[in-house]
Amino acid sequence: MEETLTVPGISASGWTAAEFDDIVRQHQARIYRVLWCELRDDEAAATLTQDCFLKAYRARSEFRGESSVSTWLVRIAVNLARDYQRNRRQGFWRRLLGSNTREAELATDVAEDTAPRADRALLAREQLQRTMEAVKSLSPQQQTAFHLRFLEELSIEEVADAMGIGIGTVKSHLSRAVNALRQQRNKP
Amino acid sequence: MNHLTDEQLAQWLEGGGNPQTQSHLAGCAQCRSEAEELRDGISRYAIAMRRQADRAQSLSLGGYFAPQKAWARHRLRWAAATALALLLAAPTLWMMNKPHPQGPLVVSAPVPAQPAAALSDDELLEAVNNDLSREVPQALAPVSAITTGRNRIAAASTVAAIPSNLSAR
Repeated sequence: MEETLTVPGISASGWTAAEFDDIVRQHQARIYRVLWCELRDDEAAATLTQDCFLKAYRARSEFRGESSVSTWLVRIAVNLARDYQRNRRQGFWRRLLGSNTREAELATDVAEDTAPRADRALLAREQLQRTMEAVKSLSPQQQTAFHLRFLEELSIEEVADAMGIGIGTVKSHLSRAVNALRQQRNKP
Repeated sequence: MNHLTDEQLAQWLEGGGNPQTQSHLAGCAQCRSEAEELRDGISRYAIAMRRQADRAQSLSLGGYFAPQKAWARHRLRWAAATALALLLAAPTLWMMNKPHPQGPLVVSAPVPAQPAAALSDDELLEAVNNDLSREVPQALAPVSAITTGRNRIAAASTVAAIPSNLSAR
């Protein structure tokens, strides 16, 4: 019989140690990615990934199975990222100093792999830069909705569940994202 | 002709859209081009972000949830910072504790080299003269010195007795 993890102040019911270990293994890549896309900070994403699983374990008795474990974990991660951004005093400087490098790396990455010929590489880089500019112009909520829908490929319902908002609001965020993309595309 | 709205394009990007949107795209080259371009841009963005995140994750987590690794990295950083601080402080400490062969360093006005050399030459010359003029054995030197001293005093008193106008001649 497997030993059940015990954390002070938490009932011993729920996942066993081995089960929780499997959950971590299955979902940590996605959780890290969600956090990294939200924060663009390697260390913070790593720390919050650990916090996310710890929080999930502590709150496991609250998990009713109404949504998937994945969506539930994404929800915890999104909330952690939001709290972190709210509390981060030095975020302005970090973003200012780090964002250009990241974007340059991203642009090069895509140009190298998805467009082998020089002219296609140029086009791909330009397209990516426009998309990044458009995403940057969105509010944090709109960015999260955009990332969860198009990067993590969650359904509209899952995005709504993960963000704790209504389906109509998610659709509105995505429409706003499309509008920003169109505006960027039409810029001279 | 009304082109597709943001909502319709968003729906199409989410996975097809309704038949009305589909038929519009089939007949409108402008909307089709725009929709395809947006889709490609989003797709490239998603690929690039996923790749960057995976790369960052492999560096940050080392593949698995590992608080020990994070702590080890933290300690390594502190060790490197300490080593760097010591390295930077070492020349200053060495300068402060450097042994001075001629005693502690005293800052003073520079002494002209020439008079010191002249004094030394005079001393040397005097010593040579003394050696050459020595007429008594070494053992009797103290007695000789007393005698010489008496003679000098006597000579000095004689000179003092001579009027200054005569001694100047």
